Parts: sequence; C-alpha cells; structure tokens
Amino acid sequence: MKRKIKFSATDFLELQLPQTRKDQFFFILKNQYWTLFLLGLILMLSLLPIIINVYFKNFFENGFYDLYASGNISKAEYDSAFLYLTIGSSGISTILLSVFAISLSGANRIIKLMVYGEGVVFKEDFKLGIKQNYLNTFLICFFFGIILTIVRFLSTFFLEYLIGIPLYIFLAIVVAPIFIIALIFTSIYEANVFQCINNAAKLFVHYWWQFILLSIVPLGSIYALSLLGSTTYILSLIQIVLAVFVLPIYLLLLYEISNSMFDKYINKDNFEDNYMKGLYKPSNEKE
Amino acid sequence: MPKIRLVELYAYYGKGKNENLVIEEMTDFFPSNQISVIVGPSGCGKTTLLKAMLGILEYDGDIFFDDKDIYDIPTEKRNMAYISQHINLYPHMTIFDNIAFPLKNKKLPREEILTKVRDIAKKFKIEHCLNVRGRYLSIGQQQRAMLARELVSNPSVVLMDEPVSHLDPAIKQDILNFIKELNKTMKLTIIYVTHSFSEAALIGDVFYVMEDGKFVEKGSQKKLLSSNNEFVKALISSEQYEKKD
Repeated sequence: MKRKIKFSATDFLELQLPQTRKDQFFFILKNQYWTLFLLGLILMLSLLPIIINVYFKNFFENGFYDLYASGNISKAEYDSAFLYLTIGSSGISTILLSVFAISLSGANRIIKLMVYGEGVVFKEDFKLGIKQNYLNTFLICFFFGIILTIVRFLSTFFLEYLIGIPLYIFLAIVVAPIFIIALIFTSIYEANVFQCINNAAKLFVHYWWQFILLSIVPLGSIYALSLLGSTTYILSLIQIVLAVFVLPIYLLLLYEISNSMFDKYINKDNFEDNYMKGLYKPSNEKE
Repeated sequence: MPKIRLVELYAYYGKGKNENLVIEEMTDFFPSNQISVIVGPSGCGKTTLLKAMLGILEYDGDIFFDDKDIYDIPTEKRNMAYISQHINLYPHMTIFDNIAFPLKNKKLPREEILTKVRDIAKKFKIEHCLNVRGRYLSIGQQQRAMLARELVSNPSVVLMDEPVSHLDPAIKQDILNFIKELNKTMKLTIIYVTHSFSEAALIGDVFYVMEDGKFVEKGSQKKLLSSNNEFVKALISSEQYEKKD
C-alpha cells in the first residue's frame, strides 16, 4: 500500500514559530510528543520502586484494617501498626527518591533543551543531565521527602488533634511549589541547592497563586484519581499511567511557566542570553 | 578524473532459471564533481544500476570508486547517499531528529551533531524548521530536509532516483536549481536518474541515455540533441510531444 505523505500547502515560515511560552507549550506537544513519551517511560521506570512501595504500604494497611475490623487486633495495635507503616513507607520512599532523581535530572535537561529550542541528542543529553543536575535534584527530592515524612509522622501521631490537615495544606501550597520551582532552577542556573530554594521562595512571593495552582492541580488530580482506584492494584496502575503520560507534560508546563517568570524577574536584567530563549523574536527585537 | 568506473558490469535479479539480466556488459565512467544524468524509459535498468552501485544488488564485473574496487565494501561504508522519489522523513521525529539520525547512528559526539545539523539546515534554508515535524512543512521543504539528512554525513557520491518526479513543476524547478547549487558549493558527484529528457536537460552536465540495460548514447546535451541514434531521437521527440500535449 502506498504511504500518503502529509504536508502543508504552504511553506512553514519563521513567523509560525512560537512567540510566547504558552504557544511554545502547545508547539512542543505537537511536534515533540514522542520525546516526551520516551521521557515518561523512563520517569515511570524510575518511579516504579516508589509505586511498589506505596502498593505494599496500602496492601498491609488494608490487611491491618481488616484484622482490626474483625476484632483480631485492638485499636491501639492497629494505630501502632498504622504509624509504623506510614513512617516506614515514607522513609523508604525518601530513600527511593534517589533513584527517581536520576531520571528527573536527565529529564530536566532534555525538557530545558526543548524549551530553549536547542536540538536534543537524547542519550547523550540525558546522561549529561544526570551528571549536571543529579546532586541538586537528589537533595531537593531528599529534603522534600524528609519534610513529607515528618508531616506524615506528626499527622499520624497527633491524629486526634487534627494537626495533619493544616500541615498538609501548608506542604501542598507553600513547600511543594517552592521545591518544584527550585528543581527547575537547578537545571538552568549555576547555584547550590539552598540558593535555588531561596530564589524559588522569593519568586513565590510574586507568583504565589500561580505557584499554588501548579502544585494544587497535579496533587488534586492525583488525589481525585486515587479515589477512583477501588483496589491498591488499580491505584498503582493509575500511578503508572500518570507517570508515563502526564508527568512529562507537567514538567514541560512547569518549565514554560517558570521560564516566563525567570524571563521577567531574572533573565531580562541578569542573564540576557536566556531571555526569551527558544522563542521567535520579531526582527526588531532581535539583537 | 572519473569518480566511478564500471567495468564489464552485469546486474540481475533472481537466480538460475529465474535470472533476469537487467544490466548487460556495461563499461563506462561518471566524472567527479559533476551531475551525470542517466535518462531512459521505465524498466531499462536505471534504478538497478544505482542499486548495484549502492551495494544492495548482486552484480558481476567491477565497480571502482576513485580507482578502488568497492565490491567488498558494505553499503554503509561506501560513503554514498541515496535519494529516492519518495519522501521518507520519519514522521514522528522533528526535522532536527531526522537530519541528526545518521550522525547519531555513527555515534558522533553531541557538539559535532549539533554543529553539522545546524550548518546544513542553514545551507538548505530550513533552519527555522528544525523543531517542527515534517507534516507541517511544505513538500518542497520536506524534500530539502530529506536532502539535508542524506547529505549531512558528507557523502562523496549522491545517487538520486527520480527525486522530483512527483512534484509540481514550480517546486520541481526550485529543487533542481537547489541540487545544482549544492553540486557547485559542496563539490558533489551526483548521479541523477530520470525518465524525462526535459528534466535531465534542466540539471545535467553529462548525459547517458539508457536502453535495455546499456548506454546507447553519452555526452553533452548538444551531442544528444544532434544524435542520429533512433532511440535517442524517439526519446527526445516523445518528450516534445508530451510537452506540447
């Protein structure tokens, strides 16, 4: 069968290149979706240990609940088991984040190159990304993991005092977005992890509601989807699908939004080479 | 100096009783840095000859590149590019990835790949298309991207098998001019195959008229137009008839 070639009736012009970060997001989705998909697969594989850890945590948690519900263990025993499971699984996840940080640091570089309109030589750039970003990415993931473990411990330990709810809200709307933006910082600017977190916190003051949206939307969606998971098995499947198809797109979105912030507050005055990098600038704006 | 020499070349499809001899005792040469056009009707053996040179078809006799017998050299090491009439860009890849593909296969360092791809894209006026998939480009741009992909590895010989046969006349003219320009600037040895004498006339430096697996006439355009060979006359006049039509 003869293959039909798809083509445009007119030449593709420079003017059709994206001129805003928003346009660029859709432009990359349209043209480089397969690269994002490949990143999604790699991210999912590196998240798999955490997904398995969460699966077993939920599995045992349900088991203990069944034992408690059937009267085989007391409330105190159930609470104690629940506490150990929560803290244990959080601790293990924090350690396993070091595996996830490997692919995240590689993915960060690939997405940065896509956003900056530079060519991607996937294998080499991924390796280079790990080399350049791993330490900072790991530290940010690790710090976040520790904070999350502490919050989980406090919210489980002081369950009766409802301390968990405000802590989780603070974590979701302040800590998580700052750490997420700090992650992007590490792959673009030469700075240590504390400088990155500090700069992200400063940006948070200017863009607090965008930051919160960036954090709430994915966390809320994951939570909402997790409600669909009637069993721990289905819940794990949902997490795998999210990692492959949604996580790389979310990372791209993060890059576009953070770069529009960086352009305005950092690049324009301090890093001119990065200012609107990857976007088409009409000739009067070209240097 | 001849770039490619064919010595008593026989090329065929099939074996034994099913053997179909397509090229028969061909001895000739194609000069360096010029566009040699092989023109002849469908089925006369033009593509078969290219396939033999490319190393994807068994042959008897000898083919020399720069006086070196290439029989034992594998296709990928012959430093040749082959451009067919079909646009075969990888549809899921951007133009950058398409052009970089042969370089990645050669495991060149990242910086070298980036430089080579950008340089050739600039030369081919598709620099702004690098992050775009082929389907969003015009057919002419896709053709240039395909040429860029084949030429980015700096082949010394380019085999073109009716590369513009399916294009509109205006785009065809553009691409042919572009190929001529490339031949001059990149000093390429091009062997261009077509069934159309008028197309051959637009691009060729040296012409070879092929009939039933043999060259029946060879030389400049002027020589061909004044040829007494009946087949050459018929080929040219049929084209004139087609043009009037």
